[in-house]
Amino acid sequence: MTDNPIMLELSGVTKQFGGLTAIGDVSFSTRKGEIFGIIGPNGAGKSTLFNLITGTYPASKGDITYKGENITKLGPEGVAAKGIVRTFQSATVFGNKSLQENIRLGYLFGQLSVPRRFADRSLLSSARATAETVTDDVLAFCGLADDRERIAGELAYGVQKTLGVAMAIAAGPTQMLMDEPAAGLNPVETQEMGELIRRIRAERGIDVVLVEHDVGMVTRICDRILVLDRGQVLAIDVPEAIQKHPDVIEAYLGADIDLHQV
Amino acid sequence: MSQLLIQILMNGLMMGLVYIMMALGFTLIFGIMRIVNFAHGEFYMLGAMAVMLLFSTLGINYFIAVLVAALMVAVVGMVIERLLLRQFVGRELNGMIMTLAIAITLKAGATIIFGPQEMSIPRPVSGVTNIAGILIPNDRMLVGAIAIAILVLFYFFLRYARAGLAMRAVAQDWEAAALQGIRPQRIYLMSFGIGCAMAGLAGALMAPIFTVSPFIGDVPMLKAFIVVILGGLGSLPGAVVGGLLLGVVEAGVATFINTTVATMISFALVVVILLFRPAGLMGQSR
Amino acid sequence: MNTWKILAGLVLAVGLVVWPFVIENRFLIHIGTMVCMYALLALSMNLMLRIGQLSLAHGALMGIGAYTSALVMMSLGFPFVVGFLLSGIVGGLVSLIIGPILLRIRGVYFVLLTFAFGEIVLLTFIEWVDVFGGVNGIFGVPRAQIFGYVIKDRSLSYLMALAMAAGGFFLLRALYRSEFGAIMETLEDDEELARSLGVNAMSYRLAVFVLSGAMAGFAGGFYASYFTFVSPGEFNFWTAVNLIVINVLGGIASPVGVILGALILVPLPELFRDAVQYQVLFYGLALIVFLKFMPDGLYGLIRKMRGKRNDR
Repeated sequence: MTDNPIMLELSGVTKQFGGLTAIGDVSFSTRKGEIFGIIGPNGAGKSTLFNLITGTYPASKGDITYKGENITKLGPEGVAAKGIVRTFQSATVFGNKSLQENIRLGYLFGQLSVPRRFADRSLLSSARATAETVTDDVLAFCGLADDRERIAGELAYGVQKTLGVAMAIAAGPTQMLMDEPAAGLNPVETQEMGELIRRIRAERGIDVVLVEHDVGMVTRICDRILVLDRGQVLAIDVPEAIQKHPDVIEAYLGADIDLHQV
Repeated sequence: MSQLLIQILMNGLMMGLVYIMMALGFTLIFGIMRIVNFAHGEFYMLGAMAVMLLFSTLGINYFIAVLVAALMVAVVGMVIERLLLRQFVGRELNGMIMTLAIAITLKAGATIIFGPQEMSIPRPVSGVTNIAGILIPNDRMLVGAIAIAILVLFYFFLRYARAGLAMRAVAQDWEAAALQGIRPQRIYLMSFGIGCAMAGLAGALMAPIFTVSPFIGDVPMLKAFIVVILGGLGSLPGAVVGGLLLGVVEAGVATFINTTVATMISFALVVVILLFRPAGLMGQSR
Repeated sequence: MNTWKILAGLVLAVGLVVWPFVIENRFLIHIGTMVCMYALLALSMNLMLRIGQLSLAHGALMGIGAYTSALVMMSLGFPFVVGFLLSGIVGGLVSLIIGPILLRIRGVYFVLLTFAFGEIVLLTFIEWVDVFGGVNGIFGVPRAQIFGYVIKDRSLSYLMALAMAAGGFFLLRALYRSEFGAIMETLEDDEELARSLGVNAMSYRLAVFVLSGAMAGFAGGFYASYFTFVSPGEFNFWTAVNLIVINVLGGIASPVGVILGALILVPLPELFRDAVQYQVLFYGLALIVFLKFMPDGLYGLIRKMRGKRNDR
């Protein structure tokens, strides 16, 4: 995997909020075919780092590139246009629409984000022809086909989170950024989510970067893990090495997590 | 020339004090309830109408009339809050529309009861006082003095009174305040009541100075709005600074150019602030 | 679509067009014209409410359209058709220019911004007396003229207004049912989600704002030639408030609701002909009642009674 082309690359990325440095000089890169995890104790700056990449916050310093293209100054839709789609920590869906409508919209919006002039209506109508097939396909892939006509807001939290992932897949990304995919899920659902993420990479060829609190899940499914502590990179390595890393253990000591228990 | 400038300053300060009273009420309501009270001007008008009834028609002593007027407006405000606005706390958009509805209802109601014509009421004091060559009308001095007294009272209330502290707590974090045993509903009621009372007081004080009609609330509403944006929605010190600033600048521009331009400049300033510093010159950025 | 619906629609259409020629009451026809004009205005406001942005600038946008048409005809000598077209174009253009600035702000602050903007426009009309005629406005605006034929007859003016309102209605209905409408809905529902999937939210909100401004501008252009007189007092923030009342009353969720709202609220002054304030009082009370008890407006109420779920 280390010889695969570089996908996402951060160099010297810094984020300051007033006098507070939330992210200080962070640099790393991800490779094609990787599931890359970002973990760290509370307050490490994981969400901030995530939001810098997704274009929700602007970086104070540094560069972020994807496949060689500079995406530092892009906002959420600009980042999406480059093929990077994110999911949300809390189940974020269009609550009053059906599951299949949600996924169809995910596909539609993904089609829109490829740079084109706003007035290009023909694309909107041609999108309809394949929207149905894509929707069917993604519903089946995520195991949501049985509930396809149910209203999203009425379903269980775990299902909504899966729907969020499905919508992101339907948007047709080459890279997915997942914000705490296991947050709010019970152990069984966490296991299933981990499986889904594995299949996203294996069967769909979509690279994944995820930010997570659940160290167990991260260690199970990620190829490499970056540990963030107080806005700085503590370590980047394969899971087995991270578990034994003395600095990482020390950073987590206060959090009462036994890294070997996972 | 310096005489003129000082005259302008005096006028500006007096108007500024009135603007501060309007703005404080307006910003208090927004800070605590997150509701933009578009009906604020109508409470000003109600205060003026009440004073007209009590002082001009019934002949009650002016100072008592002003006090009673403020109380009456406070009561009306609290009834309205309890019945109509309570459900919109925190729901900014719909709350705003509701206050718009209340505004047009109050104004129409007043027009039906009192008629649309402008009426004037006698001045409680007359004559001018000569201070170092500057002539200040006594009635305006009275307005200024009472306004300052009210503002000082208000300051101490918020700083030291239990209710005042409770209000500030709710403005900061109503859930935490509730955990402390403060009931938000009572605070909303009180804030709206006090906010309206301030507007009513402003109207009551200005009633003898200008004319009284159902439409006199429009301009003070605009001014309160401008001051509050300048100073920051929800910021009490901002309302004071903004009020003084607007009063003096306006007086200056109005004297040297004209009032329309003065208002245009104020609104242009509002646009600029809303675009670049929506928290205002001194506001809290939420 | 079943035959009964089509038949009913046809009957309605014919009725709407023909009635002024049958009931030749000038006054009633004037009411009908006003209903149509306000329907168009309320529809323009509906667009903004649909994306969750309350605009208090629409009175001013209408005014910009009205003054544009008046000035183009009177100072530049262009025929009505040009003036009318420009009233909409300039309205849309102004929205296009201020849109990127204003639309960056959301919620309460956006409302206040539009309020301030509207006031500035109004003050400009008042202050710049040479061009806009100041507080008194401009008299003697030429009447509508199509192919040299002057439209003085009330019935014909009504037909013009009807055409405008119908145009606005069908345009919005089609828009809301299209993909564009679906995108609009998601912007109101969860804009962050839509953006993360690739929607350039700003472009869509701007497009809505421009369309909305153009529609208000057209209404202003019609107003100028119908009344042959424009003055700043007609285009203030209370005009925008009236449009909000119509929307809330009729129901924001559907263009039909908006038409219903206009149908009920606009003729109302005539019940209170001698006491305009009673009309305003009614507006206010009605708005209060609807806000408090019927958040979906009249149209939502009707749909509920028919047992349908409230959708777009």
